[in-house]
Amino acid sequence: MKIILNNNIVVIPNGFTVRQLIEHIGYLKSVAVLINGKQLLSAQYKEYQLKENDNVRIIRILGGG
Amino acid sequence: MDFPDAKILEIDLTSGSILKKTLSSEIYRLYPGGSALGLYLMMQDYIPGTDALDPGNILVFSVSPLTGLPISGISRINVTARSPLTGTAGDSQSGGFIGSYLKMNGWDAVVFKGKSPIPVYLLIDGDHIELKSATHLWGNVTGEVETMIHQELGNSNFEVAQIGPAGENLVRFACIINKCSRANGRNGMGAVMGSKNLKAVVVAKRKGMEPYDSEKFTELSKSVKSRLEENTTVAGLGQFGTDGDLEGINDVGFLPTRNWTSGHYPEGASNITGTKMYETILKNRDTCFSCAVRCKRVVEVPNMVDPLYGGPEYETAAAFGSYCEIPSLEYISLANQLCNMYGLDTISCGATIAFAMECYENGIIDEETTEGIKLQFGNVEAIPAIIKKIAEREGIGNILAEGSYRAAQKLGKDAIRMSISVKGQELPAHMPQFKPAVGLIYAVNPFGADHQSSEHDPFLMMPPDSRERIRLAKIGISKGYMDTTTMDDDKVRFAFESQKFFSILDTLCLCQFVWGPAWELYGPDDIVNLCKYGIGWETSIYELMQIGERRINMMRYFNAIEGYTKSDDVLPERIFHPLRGGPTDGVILDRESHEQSKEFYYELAGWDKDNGNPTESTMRKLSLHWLL
Repeated sequence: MKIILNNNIVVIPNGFTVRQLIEHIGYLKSVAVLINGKQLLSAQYKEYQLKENDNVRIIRILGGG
Repeated sequence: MDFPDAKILEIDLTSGSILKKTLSSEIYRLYPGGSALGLYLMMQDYIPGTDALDPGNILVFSVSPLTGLPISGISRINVTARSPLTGTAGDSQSGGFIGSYLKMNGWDAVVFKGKSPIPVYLLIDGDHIELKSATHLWGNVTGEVETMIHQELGNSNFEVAQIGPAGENLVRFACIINKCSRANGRNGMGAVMGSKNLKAVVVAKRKGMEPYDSEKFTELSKSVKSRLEENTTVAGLGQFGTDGDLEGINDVGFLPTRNWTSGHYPEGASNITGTKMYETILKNRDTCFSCAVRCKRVVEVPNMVDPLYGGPEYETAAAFGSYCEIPSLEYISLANQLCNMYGLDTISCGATIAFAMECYENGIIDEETTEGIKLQFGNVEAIPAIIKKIAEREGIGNILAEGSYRAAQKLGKDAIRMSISVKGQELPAHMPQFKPAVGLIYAVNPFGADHQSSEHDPFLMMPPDSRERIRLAKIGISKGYMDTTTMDDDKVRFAFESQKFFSILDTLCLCQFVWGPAWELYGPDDIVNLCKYGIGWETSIYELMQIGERRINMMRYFNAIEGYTKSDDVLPERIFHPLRGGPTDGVILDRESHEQSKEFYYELAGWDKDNGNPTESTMRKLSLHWLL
């Protein structure tokens, strides 16, 4: 199925969770996730299943050091 | 258990006298180590108006009551003096092992006064304290000196914190190096050592310290394993080093590039990131005393870069890489090595060279001035040549050794526009246009622009149930944001409260990658437990935050005595001008919003709205009446 990820159309398997998507794109550190403009809680990442045409924004948290 | 007394060594380098003193627990608890203790001790005898490089400047090495306990992230050693780079109260921390061994030898701080008639180093071996001649060491680079000292003392069971030729030559951004790869980098503390003819502080290795509550302390210490497993941010720091995020920062368009004229470095970013380092030149991951994170890089490039000198941090990769448009990890690693050999702060050195490159390309300096070095952006060969000239104060290096701000004043024309500094200290590689709260702290921080003095804006974008937000809420920061760039009253509070928290870390000599208010391995509650289980100190977040605030105000008060006001809290003009190229083309930091945030910050801090300095009531509130 198609979703919009950070303004790009991408194809992912049906039933893909947010956690699986984060791992798929290789963001290993802390991220914030917005689905259709609404922010998810961290606890939702593992279970939340993406739907066709979801507009997903995954934000890498870039800190200090 | 009672709060401990502090054991202080006071060394008069002019006369060679060595005094052993005790600071009472009642006072020590107000200034419990590190930067706060350093400031307290410095301000006992500091005479206002003393130049940073005058023998009258007072230099303090300090650790904390917690230092030496067997737990991750507890290795830091602090150095305090008036800074020759900024003229303000100066302050710098380093990891490694020497801080832990200083404490294990029984000492909380070493105060240096005066100037030795000949080069010397201080040997600390328990109660045996000795000033030894360093005339034979003077002029040698750090790797050679460490070997010579070990040979002289008969074995390698000594940690060495030393200056290189840059400190001897009073380069204003000279640092202090230990283990040939760890630096008290910022604020030019190495030049202060050089001005005192103090080549090194050498500390014997000793056995570790026993915690007050061994069972609970061990539980806290051993939890590092599970914390590392579930904390991908810190685990990533261990695997890829601090440089692991460089490409991500470039992707969003906020990697300072070409002396901060752009936030995007498409030609080079992927070549200089921590993942590339991991795949190519990384030889080993090194660590500090008792630390499981192992974030330190050790790199090797045959016939070019010696692993003895460690490897580049993110700041180093950015300062020599994107600032100077050098797309080569090999040359960045060589620059890192040269800085560690000569004893130069990599941030100020890289940034000052980027400044010189822009001056060169704009005709402010020419090839005659550089003695044949083509100082264009991207010229990899120019970097090692200029670093050596700076360290030796040779030719153009003598001007650049003053730092970009003073160099700009000497060069004239519009060179000052090209010095990206606050209070004379060059900006680290985090852009205020992306992180306006960090930008606010760059401006108001007592010792110039610093990225390790407060938490960074992006963590407020994490969801409310995240580790980061739950911890920040415990220091009173509960509002989240959907972007990094918004600046409002709550963001100013975030900047100030997290600055106080980071000020605790620099006082207790804790590593900011392991202990902190948000993403780190251990959070605010853990620090309270560390104090309790480690030394029997029954404390609270409230007491600790007040300690952090006290330190900031001591520094600010020192600056006020030296004539600093809010007019010195100014970001470089370039930050308010549009970036060029990439996804952030045209982006600026909003000047009006920034100015409003500063005004609110002064109110929150209890500082005078006209001059930005601590009011009498603020000083009294923080038990600093003795300074008035």
